[in-house]
Amino acid sequence: MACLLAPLTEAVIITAANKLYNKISTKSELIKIKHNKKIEVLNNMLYGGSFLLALEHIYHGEIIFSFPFLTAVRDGNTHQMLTEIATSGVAMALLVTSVWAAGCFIFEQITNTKKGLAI
Amino acid sequence: MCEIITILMAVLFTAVWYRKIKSGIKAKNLFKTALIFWGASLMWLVDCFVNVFEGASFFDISTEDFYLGLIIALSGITLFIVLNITESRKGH
Repeated sequence: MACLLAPLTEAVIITAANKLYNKISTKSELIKIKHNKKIEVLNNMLYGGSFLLALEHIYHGEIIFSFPFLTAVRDGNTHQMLTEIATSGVAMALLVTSVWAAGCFIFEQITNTKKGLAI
Repeated sequence: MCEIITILMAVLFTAVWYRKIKSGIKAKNLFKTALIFWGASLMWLVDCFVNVFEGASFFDISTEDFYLGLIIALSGITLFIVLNITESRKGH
């Protein structure tokens, strides 16, 4: 119904947290750039995926362009919608984040292996 | 069908990006678009499992879902074009 709200919320929180981290971090610029690139990958997946999911919700008539913007809220199915966000939505956010984390780990391993071979 | 089309688009954009990288050409927008399709694919994968738990089939292969898949594919391609236009304008 509105399960995209969970990954979208995660993306907004990560964007805000990253901006704060960049402000207060005392790490070197190189480390910050490396970190920001990884966060950019996660944000692309979360924001982009949420955008395409929003298109699907518009296609199925679950998102409308007038208040309250969600047909579930308009039709009195708010509880069902919140349950779906808490289950499907959170599962989506966790899956995307897990795949991203695994990708970062594999990339680090490959990079370290290449550095080791170069030496 | 929507999930299948989204995965195919993700694989296609990833393959083209990888080929560009191997040729030494930076293809940041191809990578961004591939990530968008992969993100959507993973999110819809959860939906597929929810469908199975509710007694429906894993993939929805109806005509309606096929048209949705086409809309998603076209939207992703449009996003890619917009990213390229934005980047070329910043360059100027």
